[in-house]
Amino acid sequence: MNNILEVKDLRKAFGRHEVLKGLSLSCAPGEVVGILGRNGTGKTTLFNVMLDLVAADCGGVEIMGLSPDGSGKLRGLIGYVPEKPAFHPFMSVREVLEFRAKFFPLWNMGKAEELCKKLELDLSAKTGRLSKGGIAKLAWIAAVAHNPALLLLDEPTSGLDYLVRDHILSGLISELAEGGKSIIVSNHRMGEMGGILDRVCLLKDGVIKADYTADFVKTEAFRVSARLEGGLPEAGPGVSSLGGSGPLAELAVLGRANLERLKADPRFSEAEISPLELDAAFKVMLGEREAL
Amino acid sequence: MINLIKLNFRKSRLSFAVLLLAVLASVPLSLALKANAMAAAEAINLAMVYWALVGIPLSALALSAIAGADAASGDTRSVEQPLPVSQGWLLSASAGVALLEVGALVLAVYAVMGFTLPFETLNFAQKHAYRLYVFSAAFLTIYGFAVSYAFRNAVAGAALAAAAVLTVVYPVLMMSVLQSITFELISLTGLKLAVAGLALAGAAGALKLLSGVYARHEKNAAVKITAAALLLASPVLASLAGLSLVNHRARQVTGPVPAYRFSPSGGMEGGEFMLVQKPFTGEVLVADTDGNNAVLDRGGDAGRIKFGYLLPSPTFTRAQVLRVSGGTWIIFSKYGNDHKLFSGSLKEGFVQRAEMNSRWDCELVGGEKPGIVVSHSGGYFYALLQEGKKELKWEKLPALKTPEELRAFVVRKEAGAAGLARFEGKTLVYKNKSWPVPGALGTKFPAEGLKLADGLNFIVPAKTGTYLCRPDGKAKMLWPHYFRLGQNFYVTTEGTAWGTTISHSRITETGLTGRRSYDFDEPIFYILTRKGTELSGVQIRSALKKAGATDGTTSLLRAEGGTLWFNIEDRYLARVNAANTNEFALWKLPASAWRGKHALFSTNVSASSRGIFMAAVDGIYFMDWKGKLKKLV
Repeated sequence: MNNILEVKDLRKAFGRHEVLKGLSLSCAPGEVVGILGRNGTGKTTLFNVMLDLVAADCGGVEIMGLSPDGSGKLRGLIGYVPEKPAFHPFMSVREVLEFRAKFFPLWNMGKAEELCKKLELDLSAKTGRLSKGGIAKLAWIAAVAHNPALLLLDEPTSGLDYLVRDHILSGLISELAEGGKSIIVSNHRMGEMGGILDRVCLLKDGVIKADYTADFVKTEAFRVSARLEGGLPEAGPGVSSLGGSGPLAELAVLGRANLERLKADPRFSEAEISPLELDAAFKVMLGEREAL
Repeated sequence: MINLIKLNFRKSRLSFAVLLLAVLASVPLSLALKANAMAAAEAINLAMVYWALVGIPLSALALSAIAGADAASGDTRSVEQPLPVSQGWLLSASAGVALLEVGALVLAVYAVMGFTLPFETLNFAQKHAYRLYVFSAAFLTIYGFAVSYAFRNAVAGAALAAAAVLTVVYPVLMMSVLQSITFELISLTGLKLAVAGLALAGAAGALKLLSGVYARHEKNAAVKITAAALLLASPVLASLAGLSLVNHRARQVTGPVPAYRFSPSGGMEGGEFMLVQKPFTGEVLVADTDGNNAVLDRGGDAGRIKFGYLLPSPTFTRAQVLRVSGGTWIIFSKYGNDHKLFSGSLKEGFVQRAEMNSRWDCELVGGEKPGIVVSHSGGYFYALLQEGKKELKWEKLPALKTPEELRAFVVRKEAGAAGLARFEGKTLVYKNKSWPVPGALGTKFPAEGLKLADGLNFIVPAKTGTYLCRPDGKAKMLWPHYFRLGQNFYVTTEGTAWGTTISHSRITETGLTGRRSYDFDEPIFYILTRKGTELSGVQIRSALKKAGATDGTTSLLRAEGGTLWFNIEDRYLARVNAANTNEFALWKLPASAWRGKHALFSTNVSASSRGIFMAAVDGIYFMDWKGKLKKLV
């Protein structure tokens, strides 16, 4: 089956600073892909290029058979939730939805109103007076009301309080993912998305450095606790230190093969091995834990 | 697009509403504040004129600059850019709404004035300003938007746009004014269209490039920003280049020097040279058929006339040339400048002999003893024109009291050898001869003689037509039309007398582009050659048709051996077989300057024995009777 999104060798520089350096990425229909990367690694730039908001320097993007051409047509096929959504402050929620309806042929006003009700968003409220959470809810509704096959979510829960995040995570995203939508999401708290992700792509140095399946993250990320005399051992790739005190060491190991290699060391014969929590696993992937 | 226009109108509706209300509120306000003597309509019109000249340009700047800066702002971009429309549509809608709002304000002001201008008449400059108004308002709006978008700042954008628009519109206005008050110097229409096109398309092109850089972060930003800056500057540069070109061309323009008052043939009787002026520099020069020339007055900064860089304006010189044995006398005066009297020749050079107050009326008088007569508040004075460097010796002419008496004096003097006849009732009397002319329309002025091969003839207009009084004492009716020598009957350089009547008709033709109708004024020539041959009712329709001449101002230049030469509207020299006028040759003349645009100048062509001089837009030319053209100066 053809991918719904295909990005090949994408490059983008701002002045002399090259942000994307030949990035390639794909997304199959119904797939939920997480883009994991530290601040400034180019996640938003990647999203903007895919949305045809920013022109690529070279490389190809194809989404449902269309390529970015500056016309904006591509955005009609995509549901987009930006990191910092914004609306005309003089419009009410209903006016925003009605205004957007005119640009999207498949817009479903009934669905939009239903979502407003579900998310407790007042249709008559001026957007200029909405809270951050209210704006985020509206952004979500505006992104899904035209029933797009592909959603791009750029830090969709950034800055939201727990309740709103819960609304969105346990409600919308899960529902969309279960409804067969393709989703590409970037999130600093990728752990909270863990349940719905099919893949996690690590964006580093302008390219996708690693591509992990959700199963791998869930089943092949381990926490290893051991009492070691004489310091930490020399270990290969996929092993990171999670800290520890005195002779007690805690390590994160990605990949069963790496774990087996580690266990071959007699000092780990008594080690306690448990699955690594998602957040910790993603941090290890990001390199926030020092590799051994 | 409609949705975007609605959105942008909603964004700017408050500022637009305030401006529209201010226009409307000006009506009661002007009535409340008007002086008692002022009519209500006058007070309202005054307020609306103020709006048109000051309020609307400022409103256009404000609306467009705010819209442009808003379109460039991060807030607007983050809201509108994610919509599934191109950046071009977003900007077009925003600029379009500013344009519509300015248009609505213009319309409101025009409507309050009753869709008519509150002026009985407009001078030429006002007419052109009026014609340029809509363009200027549109340009101001689009440019204000573009520059504000470029600088992402409404104040800077508005200020720069105001400066740029002034820089563009002023030269265009000057070019238009020049074109109407003087002539078609160059193809100003094309130039103005180019400026207008660059003004509107340049701003649009710059917006497209800048939006690519600002909003889409396209690569080669420096190149695109430079290109956008050039596009924004292009109308200014084109306009200034146009003004510069007009300046350059204006300096080249030549024209004949129209005559002082009385002389029948303009006092510029054909000869082997032509007196020419360059009205934009004030230069006056004489050129002969071989290209030799002598500058009598350099004009320019050396004189009192300064060249106008921003608005080159012509200052016309009038003159009189008198040929006498031993040389030529030339007197000329630039508007507002003293008369200068020169004598000499191209071979020996010309020397200034006298300078007379500009307020005096001066006239060279031919005859046996050539002289100069002047009139001023002290009376009429006369001086002999003497060879050498002798000063003029003025003697008062106490017998002359009126201009008519001066005219008679000049004619008597000039008639000299040609003879001067008088009327006794309906009888023309010359020396011991008399010609009874039935229904003669005599005047109090004497009748000037016309030297033909058989001697001195007189042309006498009568009720039934024009009579020729021959040296044999007989008077015969020449033609059943009114002709009077010096008024509507002229003498060519080689001595042929001629006049015309005009046949008016409406022509309808079917061509490649369909049917077209036009008025055709066809001159019908009545010619009396110096050998006494009468040619009656000569029509040269074929030549006129081919030349596209329709205004009836074709003139006879020469008649020789059964061949006639005509000046067709200063555009063609035509040689026509008098016996069969369908046999002809046409030679195109250089573009001339102000024919038909100024009452002083009926023609730019001056005939000599060898051919014609042509004062053209880029210098002086000479074309011989076989159509060979050369540039003299």
